[in-house]
Amino acid sequence: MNKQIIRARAEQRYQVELAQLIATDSGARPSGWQLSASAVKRFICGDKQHNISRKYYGDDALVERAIVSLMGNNGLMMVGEPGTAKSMLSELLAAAISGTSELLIQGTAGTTEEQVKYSWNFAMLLANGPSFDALLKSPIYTAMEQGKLVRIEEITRCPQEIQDVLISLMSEKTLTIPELGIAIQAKPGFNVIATANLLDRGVNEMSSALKRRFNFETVPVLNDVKLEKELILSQVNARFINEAQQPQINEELVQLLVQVFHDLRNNFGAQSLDATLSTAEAVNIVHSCALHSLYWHQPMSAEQLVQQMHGTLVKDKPDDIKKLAHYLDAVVRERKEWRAFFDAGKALWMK
Amino acid sequence: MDEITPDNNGFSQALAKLSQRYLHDEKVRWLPVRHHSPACAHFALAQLNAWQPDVVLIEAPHSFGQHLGLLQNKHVVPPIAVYQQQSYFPFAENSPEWQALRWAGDNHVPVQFIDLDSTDEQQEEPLDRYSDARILSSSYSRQLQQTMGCRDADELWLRLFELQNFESANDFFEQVLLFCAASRLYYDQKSLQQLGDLDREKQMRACIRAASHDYQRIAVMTGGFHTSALFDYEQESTSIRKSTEDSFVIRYSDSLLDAHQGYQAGMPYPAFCRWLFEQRSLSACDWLLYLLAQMPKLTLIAKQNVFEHLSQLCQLRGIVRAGCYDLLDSLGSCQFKQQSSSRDYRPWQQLLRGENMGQLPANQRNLPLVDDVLAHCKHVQLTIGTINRSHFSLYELTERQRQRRQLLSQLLFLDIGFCQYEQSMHAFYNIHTAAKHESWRYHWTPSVEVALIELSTLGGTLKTVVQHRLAQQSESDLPQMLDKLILSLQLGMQYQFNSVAITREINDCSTIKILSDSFIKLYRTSKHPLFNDYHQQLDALITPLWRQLSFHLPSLNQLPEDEALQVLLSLQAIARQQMEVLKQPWRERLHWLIEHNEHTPTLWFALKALAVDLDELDPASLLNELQRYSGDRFTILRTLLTVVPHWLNYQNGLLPLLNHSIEQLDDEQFVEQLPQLRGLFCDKDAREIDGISQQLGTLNQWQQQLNWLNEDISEHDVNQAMLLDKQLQQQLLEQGLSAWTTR
Repeated sequence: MNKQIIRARAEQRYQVELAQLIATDSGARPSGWQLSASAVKRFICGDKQHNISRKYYGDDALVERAIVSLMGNNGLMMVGEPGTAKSMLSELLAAAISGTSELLIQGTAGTTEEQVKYSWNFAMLLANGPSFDALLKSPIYTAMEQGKLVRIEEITRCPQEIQDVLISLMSEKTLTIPELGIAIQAKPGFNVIATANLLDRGVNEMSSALKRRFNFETVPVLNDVKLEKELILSQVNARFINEAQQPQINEELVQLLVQVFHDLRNNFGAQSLDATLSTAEAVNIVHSCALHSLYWHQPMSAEQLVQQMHGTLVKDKPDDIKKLAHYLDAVVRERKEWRAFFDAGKALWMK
Repeated sequence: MDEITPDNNGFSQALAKLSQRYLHDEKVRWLPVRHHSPACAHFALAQLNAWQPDVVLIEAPHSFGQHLGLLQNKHVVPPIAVYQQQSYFPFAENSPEWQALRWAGDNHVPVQFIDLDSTDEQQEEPLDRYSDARILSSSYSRQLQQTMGCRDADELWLRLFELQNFESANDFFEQVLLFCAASRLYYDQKSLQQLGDLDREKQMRACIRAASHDYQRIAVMTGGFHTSALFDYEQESTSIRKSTEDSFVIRYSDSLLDAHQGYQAGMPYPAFCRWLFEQRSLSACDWLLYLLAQMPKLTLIAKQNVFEHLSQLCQLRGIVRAGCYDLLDSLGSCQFKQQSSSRDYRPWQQLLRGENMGQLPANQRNLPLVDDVLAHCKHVQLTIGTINRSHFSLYELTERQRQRRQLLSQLLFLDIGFCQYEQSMHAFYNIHTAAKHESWRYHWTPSVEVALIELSTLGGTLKTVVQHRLAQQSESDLPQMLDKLILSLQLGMQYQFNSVAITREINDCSTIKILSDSFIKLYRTSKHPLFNDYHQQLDALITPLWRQLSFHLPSLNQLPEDEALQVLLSLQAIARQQMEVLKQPWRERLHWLIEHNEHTPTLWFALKALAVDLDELDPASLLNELQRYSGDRFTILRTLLTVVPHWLNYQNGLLPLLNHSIEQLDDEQFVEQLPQLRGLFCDKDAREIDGISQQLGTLNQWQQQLNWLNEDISEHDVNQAMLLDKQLQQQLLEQGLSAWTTR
């Protein structure tokens, strides 16, 4: 049965590549890992010789550091601006190392200790008292039990007392269940990949005790125009991979969008617009343009690009429109080959 | 080779051919190197020991042969550099050329330098002769960087050559040769010609050919980029170009050797490269421990974490020993507990860069001018080496401090980059009478020595060079002459100025602005403690200058009103300070001006006010006269507020008059005057404004007094007010209402 899903997990999407790497990997595998460190790197950064696609378009050195951090005793904490592919990288790492990326806790203001450790099927608990059957395992519990990586997204969104639950889990590698009088000891391969968003810095500042249990990696915004364009195209194409029809993506417009993002980042600084001008936002813009082009049977246009930019970038700060208008006036006006973009932007932002 | 393009089969064939030729020559062992590469230095020693050549040929200008004795002297400690014609040829401990030189010295093997001298090249800009940029920035290198996931060309080099083991020196140099030759294949003959490489290689081939006639076993050490072009030395027909161009061996520093600090032919992090060379015999594990021991402030547990991380990182990257990039990576991963930026790495980077400075034997330096300046520095106790500061209390200068300041002034004047004022350079010419203290920063660097060597063409001692430079200072008018005078006195060259010429210039000058500015400057200078010893000379100029200025004061009217007022104010201030000498002459001039000259009403009132004020008379009669004045009274009031602001506080002073004048204005006229009135009062502090407002309340019989001194105002309120004021000023400026601003 061919089950249709909106989004496949990394291990599903790259099933063939992973299988190939597992079969051919001759390197030493850290205990509990399904691949050697070198094969994990090749899975993420690509290996042309063996037909493994590149999935992360940032620094290879960052990927190497992240892999090595996961081999050690500390967890891996990835911090950076929103939309810099932290989550994607953590998913890829989990898929490559543990074969699954589904052990995930999404940090929110409402995350509870039960979600981090375990909870109970209360009907069974009341009927039979505490037992393994009544125990509901959290992703961390499962990861410890099976020796896998567990991902915690947006850890700083969690209240601090919930974050601190992780301290003993990560240092002792043991999860105590007093109700059953037992303790689960983590198997080799268990570790934690957490991500934190810089915009949330200070929302729930992590304790220094917890920080000590992580190796930090700052994931930067892509600064290479060519690489960013390549990434956007590959991401957008991947979203259409299961569609019956493929859109005609106008690469020149993608190039223009990337250049606009770089200009805006450099001229105003990353935080001047409410939007972070991340690659993920650029992907969303191009994806929306491509959908419009596909279903309305129109070629991608500068006008459409501007409208999608407006929808994605302009949040609730009225000043953002002024900044975009200023950018049009001061920079875009001078670029004769961007005339269509200028006219479309003028109609929307320079009214 | 030039018809081969990297994309065709010829590329790999050409490399295969080079590989065959590399060990083919029975007479020559080729040592293709990257300058300052620790691995190249290590394997060069191994190769030299194995080959035992009769002569070592090194890529360096031919004329450097004159320094061979010094370069092989045991007391010389790198980093040092040979300086020739705005080009540096640095040697570090880890430079293969340095190790080859020392090996040759120890084994009594002759050394020949086989490159062209800098002056033999027809280049408009001085070239960085050791530039390895052509290897590192080639498309070949960039492709490899991409394939291997390296961040830059230096990381690629480190991974390929520095952090690996090789079976033998032959194996190592063959790999270096192929890497460099592959990079070279991306350049065509035309660009090589333009860069000067082809001419230099002709010279190198000619030298190798000549040596091949004299010796049986030759070692040739050149930049890897050139080596493949030297194989056909036997066919070279050009003759060796010899030069006697002067060059100097100078001390050099780690920071100047660093590729990240702008030295294109350098390796990144010189101290790290030195360790890498010196500790090459350590096992990978011990090397890691050695590196961590160099990093201060790491706790034992932190060292353990970094050690584990770094070992695994090296394994993943396929390198035998950790490089500087890997070390920084692991330190960053394990030590930072927050978002990091490049700035956070700086303390570690500084350690890896190092702070070593080379040493030369004192008796063999013989650097023109440098030794003289160093002797002066020693005499006045200036510390040479690290960055230092020297503070002077100008009113309490001891003789030693005076000499020290004089030396610093001389070296600042020569602009050799040794020292700088904490204030700006202008302080040299415009002495601030209010300044009681002065602070200088100085740092002796190799570039200082080079600058001095260059200056030595002007003279052999500091004194002669300063004299020469001073003589070049322009003195075509009075301001320039006075600047030169002030400069000469500060440099201790008082005999350099010609007082007769200055007096003649004063007597010839008839421009009121120049005369007044010169008088004020000269007067201030004469009152400054730095010039205590020169009162007599300065007074000898002040007297004729005052005479000339007095004579030309009537032409005050030619100046714009603002400037004329400023001149009057300054002169009045000086006259007040010098009551005994100048009060009477100034009073006479003022009265003479009032009575004999046609002035604008504004200037006339200003002169009258100054005269009244000088004699401390009651201003009532003058103010009455102003009240009767039918012209633009506000302009005059504004002028009086500028020249005699204290009259505002007199009971029957300016305020009642101003109040009365304002009362007579209609709304439109009032709005028109308002910006300038605001400007007049904005520089008053709160207490003065309070006094004025109380006077106004009494004058106008206001029921409710204005309370400007609200004691409930908190610091927060003041800060907010200042912020609002700042915003207001900004907005006024943006809207073109600069008349309303107080700045």
